[in-house]
Amino acid sequence: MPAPEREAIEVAQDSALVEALRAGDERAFLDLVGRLHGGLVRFALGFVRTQTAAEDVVQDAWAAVLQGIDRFEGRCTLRSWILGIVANLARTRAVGDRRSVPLSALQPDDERAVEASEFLPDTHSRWAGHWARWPEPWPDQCLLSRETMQHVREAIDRLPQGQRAVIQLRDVEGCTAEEVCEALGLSEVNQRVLLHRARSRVRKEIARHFQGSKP
Amino acid sequence: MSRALPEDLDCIVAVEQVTDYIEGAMPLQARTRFEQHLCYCPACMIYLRQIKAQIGVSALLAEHKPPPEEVTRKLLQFFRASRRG
Amino acid sequence: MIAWKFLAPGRIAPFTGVQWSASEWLEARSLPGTGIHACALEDVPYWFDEELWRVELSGSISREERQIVAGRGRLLARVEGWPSAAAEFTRACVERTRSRAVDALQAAGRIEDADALREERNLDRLQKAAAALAEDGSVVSGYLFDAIRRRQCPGLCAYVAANAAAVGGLRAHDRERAAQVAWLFDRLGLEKA
Repeated sequence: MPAPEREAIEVAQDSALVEALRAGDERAFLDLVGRLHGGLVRFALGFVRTQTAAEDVVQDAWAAVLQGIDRFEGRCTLRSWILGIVANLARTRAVGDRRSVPLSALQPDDERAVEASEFLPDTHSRWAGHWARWPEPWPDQCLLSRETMQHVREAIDRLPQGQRAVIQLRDVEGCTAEEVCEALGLSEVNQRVLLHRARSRVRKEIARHFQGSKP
Repeated sequence: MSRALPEDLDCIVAVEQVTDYIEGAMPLQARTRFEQHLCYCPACMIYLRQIKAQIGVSALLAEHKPPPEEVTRKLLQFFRASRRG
Repeated sequence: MIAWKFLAPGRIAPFTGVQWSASEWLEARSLPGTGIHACALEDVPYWFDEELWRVELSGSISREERQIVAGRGRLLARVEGWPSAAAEFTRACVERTRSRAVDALQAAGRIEDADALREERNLDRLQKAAAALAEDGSVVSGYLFDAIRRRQCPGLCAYVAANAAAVGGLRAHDRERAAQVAWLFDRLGLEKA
């Protein structure tokens, strides 16, 4: 189903949920918490240092959600609104904890998806700009091994903050582009650039992992 | 000369378009040229498949664990308090 | 209108993953910029895949760069000769590229090299000879090497042949692509729609 249609359905389902929350429906609240909490903590971990800090941030976020629920206008999905609250609290907490900005966050503006060295140089008489060697297809089942999945998890966690936030929400949590732009205060183009760079870095890690484990 | 026609993509350019392509954020002409490139470039087709496979695996990382008991209890207290006020 | 369409095995559209019904009409979603994509005869060498189908298009039809876009389409019949003719097709691309390499070598005064290339019957030896000549500065021989090396992949081989021709200019490029179309037209019995 295309994203705008999925989003329309979610927004419609949201309004029923928001009404239930406003009316004090505990089951609705616990259901929501059950669905989102794990993902919110994982998301918050992209900003703060520790699991404990992430848990704290998310609990504070739930409190803020409950305080603000009467004012929620439903212009975006409930999830994206909650994610935005988590992001803001997490960023504030990170500044407070004086979490150092990793060197990897200082990126050049023209980060390439694939290093230029993987392609033939301009001096090649026939295939300048084409792959110097074809990438190795990844064995289908191998991606699903626990080991590989752990590598993907770690590769995502090692990304610079902005890239990690976008790929975590888009590819892991399955949020729409609109939700991510709303939650992180990004333009559509910026969101896409971050997603592109994030996916490219993770892909590089996976390729290296398969390369390394070849007999 | 490295390509038959000026509008043909080089791989180094094509790999930068992969995200826009998967997102459906390309106008028809650009999308056609990208797909054209895939038709004569098995290497870039492999690359695109890798990215798609990676996206598929990423979705499996989503966490569905509900919070621990004591957190749930605390949140329920927040909820009741917020509805009272 | 009648057109041609390549699908991945199992009638799967190569880019959307949508499976085509064996006979039912497929509607394009009513979003701008999407539609049923198909080939006119002259587009065919640009879109190779496993299955080649004769299709019928209807609804709003527009001619776009390298393809036809339509509001709806349905499969009519599978072209029997594809992909079994793929090896012959790429062989023909190789042979035309060989001629171009021979001509280029002759034009460069390398008569012995040209003759040797023309006479070589064995494909592996031809590939090696072409590689050596490429090292020695003959770009078209380099394309011949590439065409032989990539003869398992019709899309790439056709592209290589087009590139080899393009060394001689745009008209030569267009003639090569036309030759590819003519080959497919003759060999597979694709009528001009």
